[in-house]
Amino acid sequence: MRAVWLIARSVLVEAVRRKEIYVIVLASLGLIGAVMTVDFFRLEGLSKFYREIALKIMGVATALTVIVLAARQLPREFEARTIYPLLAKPISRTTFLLGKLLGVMLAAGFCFTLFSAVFLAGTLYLGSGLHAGLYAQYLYLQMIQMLVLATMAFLLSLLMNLDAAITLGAVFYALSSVLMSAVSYIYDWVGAVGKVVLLALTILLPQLPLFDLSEKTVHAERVTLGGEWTWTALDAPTMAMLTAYGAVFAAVYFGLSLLLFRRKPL
Amino acid sequence: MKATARVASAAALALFLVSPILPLQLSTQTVGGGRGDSVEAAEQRNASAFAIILGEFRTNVSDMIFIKTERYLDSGIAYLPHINTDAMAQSGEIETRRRQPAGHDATTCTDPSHHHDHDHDHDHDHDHATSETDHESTDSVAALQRQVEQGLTTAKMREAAALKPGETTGHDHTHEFVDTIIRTAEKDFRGFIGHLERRVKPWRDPRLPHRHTAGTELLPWYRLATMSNPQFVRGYLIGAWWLKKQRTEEQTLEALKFIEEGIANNPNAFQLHLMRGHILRALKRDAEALQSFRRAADLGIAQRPPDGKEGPTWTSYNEDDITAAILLSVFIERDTKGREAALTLAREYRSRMETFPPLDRVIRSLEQPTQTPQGNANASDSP
Repeated sequence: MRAVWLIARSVLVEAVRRKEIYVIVLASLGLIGAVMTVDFFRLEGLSKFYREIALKIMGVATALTVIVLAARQLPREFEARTIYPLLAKPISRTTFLLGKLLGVMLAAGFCFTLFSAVFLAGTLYLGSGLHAGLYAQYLYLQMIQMLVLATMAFLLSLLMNLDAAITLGAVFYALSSVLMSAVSYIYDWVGAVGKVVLLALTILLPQLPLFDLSEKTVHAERVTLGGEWTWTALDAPTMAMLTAYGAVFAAVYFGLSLLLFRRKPL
Repeated sequence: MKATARVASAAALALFLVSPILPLQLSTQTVGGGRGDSVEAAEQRNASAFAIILGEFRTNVSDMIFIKTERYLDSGIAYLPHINTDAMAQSGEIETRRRQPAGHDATTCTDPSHHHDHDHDHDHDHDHATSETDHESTDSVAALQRQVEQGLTTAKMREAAALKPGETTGHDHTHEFVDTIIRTAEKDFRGFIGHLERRVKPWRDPRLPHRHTAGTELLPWYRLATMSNPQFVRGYLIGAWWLKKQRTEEQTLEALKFIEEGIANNPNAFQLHLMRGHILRALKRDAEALQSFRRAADLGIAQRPPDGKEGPTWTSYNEDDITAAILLSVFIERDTKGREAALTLAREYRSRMETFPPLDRVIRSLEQPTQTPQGNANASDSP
């Protein structure tokens, strides 16, 4: 466990030292700040726009950070030959990969912490309401999504070169919602074989939009009459299902990555 | 082989060097003003399979805003765009994709609020230039304003405009529903994945009544859209319309500022001048409003085909808007300066167009001062 933690810490320290995270986070914060400074017709209490832009930036910036960071871990170790002294120590490849994964997830958590601090400060400044339960669930599900993306990036980096792995990971992330809509929409128009293919695609590929609760978080508002929210937090069984769904994909991708990593000649 | 490659390279280089000449061949004619798009055109475009699959992924700011508007007014729920192009092609009118239970018609319905012969939100007459019988819709200032509004906005937008943030409508369309983009449980082949999507995304059973929320939250999107594309005339028009609907002097002045920014960026878009006139009337600055309506009429007449026929650059919505601009100019002239001045102005406009039945009718009513027409052309009918 200590070995996992040490490797994870080194990943995080390296990510912070390379200042890439800072650049992504600062650029994103600059964007959020710019949005807050625009005067929207002197109207007060406009919060959906701010929430939508801020949550979108948070999600995209963190996902890109995770994909790049995770995809780079193993190729870089091989390229710089730093993996040899590490594996010469009594550290198994499972421990090594687990440590890398934990490091990437810590970096994701670091990004979300920074973003959340700014987002919540902005929300307070604008005096707009935020459904705390939904927001907490949004963060939790985003972290599950980052886990799936990180393990997927590990796998891709072991199957292809670094640039291709980053590109494919980013493209899959960007198009996942379009893919989900497309499969659902064209299902009725294809033949029996096509239906099987689409169903297989739906089951075999992780449906990343399921981890994105931002739309409900954006549109949750307290109704004047009655005081209830237009959208409420998800119930426990749904959260458990989502967690299990993400964990299965993460476990499969991690297992495959480990298999390839073990077979990789040093 | 080497020589061929050398010749090809030289040819490519020569073409590249002469390429700056190409723009000289482009037409220098300025782009005519116009709304740019109609609400039905946007609905139709966004009802296509590809558009539905893309969701909010757009490079076209107009379509992106259309989708945003639909989602914001429904608390984020993605309903299928409400257009049925087949029905439109068959009947010549646009019907929303709403379903009614079998046997439900005017004779069986017990809901007094339900108008079975209503024209709902897309009640456009697409033959304004030739019809002389549809004059009820153009005989009063209020009706003209309503006509312009209906061309610019959907019924949902007009309904939501009356709401304040936090307010919702309990819109009980018990006898009709619009499908959601996310499938219902009965139609979903994806099992638990579909179930999770319905839980995670804003979704509501389409059979339940729709609940619309206030549209003010959309205003930043219109602001951003016009900042990114200052030629987005429709963005200026709808943004100003939302602001005007806030019905406070401060927001109406903001609407004026916004529309004037639009005019500065699109001086030939006559609809912007028309909207400016409406805003100025709301501010009770009638003299300036008249100037705006007249400017809109002048620009519109210059852009209108002489016979008013629809074409690629002139739609029924352009025709509605120019009708409003011309008739409002005449009506306000009549109310402020008298019948003779209005008649002179009307004749002057008429002389610049081959056909324009609504104006013919108004001229006839102005020429007969003692006879009050069935409409209220002679009455001072400010909204």
